[in-house]
Amino acid sequence: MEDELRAAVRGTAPTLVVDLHGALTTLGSEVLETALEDARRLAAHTVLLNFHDVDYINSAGVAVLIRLMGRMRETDQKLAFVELQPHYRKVFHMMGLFQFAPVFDSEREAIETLQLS
Amino acid sequence: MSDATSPASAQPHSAPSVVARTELLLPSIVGWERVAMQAASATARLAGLPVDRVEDVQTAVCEATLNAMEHGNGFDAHRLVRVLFVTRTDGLEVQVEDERHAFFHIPPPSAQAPKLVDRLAGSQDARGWGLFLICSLMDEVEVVNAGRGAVLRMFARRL
Repeated sequence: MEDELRAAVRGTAPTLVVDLHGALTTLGSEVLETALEDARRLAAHTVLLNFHDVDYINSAGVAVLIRLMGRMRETDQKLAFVELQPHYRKVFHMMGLFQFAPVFDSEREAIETLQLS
Repeated sequence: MSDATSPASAQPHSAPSVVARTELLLPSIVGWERVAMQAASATARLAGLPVDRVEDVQTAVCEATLNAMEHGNGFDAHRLVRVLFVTRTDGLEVQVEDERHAFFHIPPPSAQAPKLVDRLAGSQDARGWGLFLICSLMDEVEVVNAGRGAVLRMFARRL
């Protein structure tokens, strides 16, 4: 019943993009964790998490994301959110996530603003 | 406080009335909250809420249903979550009921945000955002006792 979360890592270090597809819920924990771990092994300093194809997010899914954000902070990796739907952008804002990871309308905007290579 | 014989009170604003009631009974299985979410979308549109408010109601209903499934019914598939949509002339009321009074184990509804920094540091469980989001997204939220379980009642006003 639940759309499974899928994730794909692309790009070259130090900036990698993780494309998410499907639903971000607690069931997507392993998928998201694996993708971010892959990005870390590929020496990503900054990860752009692209939500373009994410159609459903619940608070348990955001909790998964928060746990992984905590781990990324420990290893000094940076995270940014890209192409979040306006409603989920509002929800993330309410939860205070943008204090710790900025949000951008597009990958291009993220790269230009953060002066990434 | 107005005079009962004044013109204003002689032609009072019409009291909100119920247009329709729609009820769902869902098993306590993750994923079925999305059925409630779809019904929330349809009923909120029929209640005349604008698109952004429809999305607010969807998320609030989804979170309330998940809370009832997990904290009230322990994800026991045989225990049901009842979701009642009351379409009113002034907006949409939603009642989410579990079978074991889950919401009495949750602090009274408030819109105070959990401390994200503690959750990032791992010193607090990263979960526990549901009630905060419900209170933030809806115009009214209350917990009421019911015969069988607890009911989270929420309302989104039509502007």
